This record gives sequence, C-alpha cells and structure tokens, in this order.
Amino acid sequence: MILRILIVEDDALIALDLAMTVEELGHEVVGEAAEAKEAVGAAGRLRPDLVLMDVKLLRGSSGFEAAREIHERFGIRSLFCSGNIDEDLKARASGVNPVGWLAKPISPNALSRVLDALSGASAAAI
Amino acid sequence: MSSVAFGVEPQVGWRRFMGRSGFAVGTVLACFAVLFFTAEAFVRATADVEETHRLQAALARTQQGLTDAETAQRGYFLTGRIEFLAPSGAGRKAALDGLTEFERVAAERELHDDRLTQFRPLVEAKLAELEETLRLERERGLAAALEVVHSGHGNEAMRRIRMLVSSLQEREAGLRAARERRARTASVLLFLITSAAAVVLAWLLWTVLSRLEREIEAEAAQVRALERVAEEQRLAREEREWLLGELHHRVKNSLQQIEGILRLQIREEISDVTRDSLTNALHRIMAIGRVHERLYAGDRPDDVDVAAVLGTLCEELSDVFRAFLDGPITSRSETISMPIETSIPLMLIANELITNACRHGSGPGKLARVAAVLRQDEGSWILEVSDEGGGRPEMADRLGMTLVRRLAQRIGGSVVMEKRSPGLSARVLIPREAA
Repeated sequence: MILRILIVEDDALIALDLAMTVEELGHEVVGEAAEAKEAVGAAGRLRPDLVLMDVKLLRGSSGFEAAREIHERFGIRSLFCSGNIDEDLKARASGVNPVGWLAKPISPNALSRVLDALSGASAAAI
Repeated sequence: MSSVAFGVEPQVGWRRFMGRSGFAVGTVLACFAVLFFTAEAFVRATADVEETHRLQAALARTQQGLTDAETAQRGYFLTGRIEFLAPSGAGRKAALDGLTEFERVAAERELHDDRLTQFRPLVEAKLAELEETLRLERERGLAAALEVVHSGHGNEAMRRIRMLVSSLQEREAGLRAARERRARTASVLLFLITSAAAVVLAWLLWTVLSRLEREIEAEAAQVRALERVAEEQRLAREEREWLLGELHHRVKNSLQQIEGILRLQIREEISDVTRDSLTNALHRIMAIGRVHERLYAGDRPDDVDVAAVLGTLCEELSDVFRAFLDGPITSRSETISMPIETSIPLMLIANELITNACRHGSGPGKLARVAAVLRQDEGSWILEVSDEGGGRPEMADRLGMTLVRRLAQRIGGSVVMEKRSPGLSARVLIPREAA
C-alpha cells in the first residue's frame, strides 16, 4: 500500500532528499513543512497517513509539540528523525505515541525498512 | 580561594589549638598548686588557733579544779558537814585532767618553757597539801588540819599556781591573737586566689572554646567553598556536554545535507559510470558518518567502540549491495576501543574493503559471501575482509586500493592482499602503540 506522507524538516536540502527518497521507495509526499504551526496546519488540511518529523524545527519550534498536537487533533502518528537519539529524547516523546525513530544521517535503507513495515501493517489493517 | 587554604590551614590551626591547650593545662595546674598551698596555710592557721584555745582551756580547767577542791574542803571544815566535801573529788579530778591535757598539747607543740616544768610539781604539791589536810582532820581532828591551813603553805602554792597560769594565759592570748590574724589573712588570700583562679579558668575556657568555634566555622566555610566549586564544575560539565551534543547534532545535520546533495545528484545523473562514482563517494561519506555516530554515543570521545561501528557498517552495506550478496555480510569483532584518530581511518578502510568484496566477490553466476573480522593481539589490531569470489590479486577499484594503502600508512599499518581459492582476503595490521 502506498503511504501518504507529510515531511516536516527545517533544512531545505534534507527535506528535498527525504522527499525524493520517499518517492523512490514508492510512497507519496503530500506536503512539506519547516516549523511546528505550519506542520499542524498541513496535517489538518492534507490528512497524511504518516508524518516524518524532525525534532528541531525552524524558529526554535519543537517537533514534539507539533507531533503531540497532530496526534491529539487528527490521530496521525509521527516517525521522528534526530541526530541525537537517546533515552531522554525517547522519554520526552513517549506521550506522543511515535511510530519509531530514525537516526540522522538517515540512510535510505533504514527509511525503506520502516516504511515497508508500516505499509504492510496498514494494508493488513485495511 | 587559594590551594593553600584547603590543605594546610586546618593543620596549623590544630597545632595552634594544641599549643593553646598546653598553655591552658599549665595554667590550670599552676592555679591548683597556688590554691592548694594557700588552703593548706589556712587550715594550719585555723588548727593553731584551735590548739591555743585548747591549751588555754586546759589551764583554766586545772585552776578551776583546784579552786573547787579547796572551796569544798573549806566548806567542810567550816560546817563540819560531810556533804560540803562532795565536790572536792570532782575538782581534784578536773585539775588532774586539765593538767594532763595541758601537757599533751604542750608536747604536741613541742614547747620548751621553764614554766611548763614548774606547773606539774606545783599542782601536785597543792593536791598533796589538800590530801594531807583531810588526812589530818580524819586522823587527829580539825585542829591538826587547821594548823596546816594556818601554816599558809596551801595559800602560797595556790598563789604561785595562779601567777603561773595567768602568765601562761597571757602568753597564749598573745599567741592566739597573732594566729587568728594569720588565719584571717590566709582566708582573705584564699578567697582572692580562688577568685583569680576562677577568672583565669573562665578566660581560658572562653579562649579555647572561641578558638575551637572559629576552627569549626573555618572548616565549614572550606567545605562550603569546596561544594561551591564542585557545583560550578558540575554546571560547567553539563554546559560542555550540552555544547558537545549540540555540535554533534550539527555535524550530523551537515553530513545528512552532504549525503542529500550527493543523492540528489546521483538521481539526476544519466551516465551509469558517473552515477557509480558518485555512489562510491556517497558511501565513503556515509562511512565517516557511521563512525561519527558512534563517536559521541560513548562517554569518552577518545574511545570509540569500533566493534559496534563495524557491525552498523556491515548492516548498511548489506542493504546497499543486497543484489550482489548471498546473505548479509558477517561481521565478527572482539570488544575493541580505540582512539578516534585510528578508528575513522580504520572504518574507512573497512568500508573500501567490504564494498570491493561485495562488488567483485561474486563469481560467474554466484553471489558474494563476505565476512569482516576485527581482532586484537598483544601488539596490534587486525582487520580481515574476505570473500569467496573469483579471486584477483588486487582490488578492482584503483582509487579504493589507493585509499586503503594511504589510510593504513597514515596510522602506521600495513595491508596484505592474499589470493585464496576461492576468493580474496585483505588483512590490515595496525600496531597499537602507533595509536
């Protein structure tokens, strides 16, 4: 099953690379956002299956806050990306019910494994 | 806060305190000695007064006893009634007791006075005269007794006794006045010295206690200062860790950007050859990224867990070269930590050797089976990458081979390529002391 994905990433280059990688993996990028408020707006408007969420966003806004709001308001879960994944970070995100964690730099193979597992699970759910 | 303030000062303080304590003990002992001697003098003076008193009392008793005995006898002679004689015996006894007491006190005092030796004969003579008069009265009648009285010997004896007693009493009175003065002086002195000793002791106690309190306060201040320093160090360490984490994050972001750019370019590239080259470059950069990822995972940046990095690298490359491989690349490693200066080149070498083995380790119609082993012996670290391919004496990728040799050379290592049947084994030897 093809996943509809919203990419939330403050770095334009990385966002572009992620978008192309996601599409190469056969999924659909429905939109991109660079900060928390924009991400929540886009999620409400586009209703993606999954949000690819960077932890640190533009203008000091937090990926956790965006993910929490998106999860609470629209029931959409996030796949977090961060350079420093540690227990502290995971503890902070525990209330957001994340799909998983991807360590930066993100390798296309790691992303592919997560998305394959998700689309398989979604297909099974449908 | 100087370093001297921490180690040395309490010792000096303690020594000072001990010195002060020695002084205090000396002063206390001196106070007690003076007190003891003064008290002894006081007690002695009081005893002297008492003794004079006893001597005087003994003299008075003797004289009174004699007088009583004589008076009783006269009463008897005058009235002829025997009951008037009754107090006579008691008087004689009192006189003798007084005499004995007087002699005992005089002996205790070791008095040497002619008057003492005169006293007993006089008293005894008087007593004998009284005795004789009574005997005569009993045996020969009142007239014979009165004859003795009329002789005046009894009166004379009594007069001499009175004179002697009064002269001794006078002397004792003078002595007693002097002794009482001495006792008073001793008591005043005792009071003054006791007060002075109390003041000195109170002062000593106060100085010692206040010094002790100052020492304790100084120590507490030092402990507080140490705690403050420790707290500052902790904050500084936390800030450093935060900065390091931030730096680490940015480096990873930059690596992600670089990889992103390369991937974008690879996607745009039409030529297979160029795309291949760019992919090689991408993988080389990714290998640096893998080491970097592990760099800050541990507590010590100078100690990289290369076994874990090698494992991750093999997993990544297994994914990348899935199409060429007969199963994932096997990696085996002891738990080895090495400094970053060695671990980055070594992991770049591993990346080159494994990539080469994946690409060229497959024979005709056969997928590659690649293994990477990292171990250490006493003097060196050894990385061995082998495949079961067609077997070439050298790596197919010339740039890859150059990189491997240059990187190994930089960390003092050597590379040995060994042809096997089937396949190729590359062994990199890095002396540990070079790291």
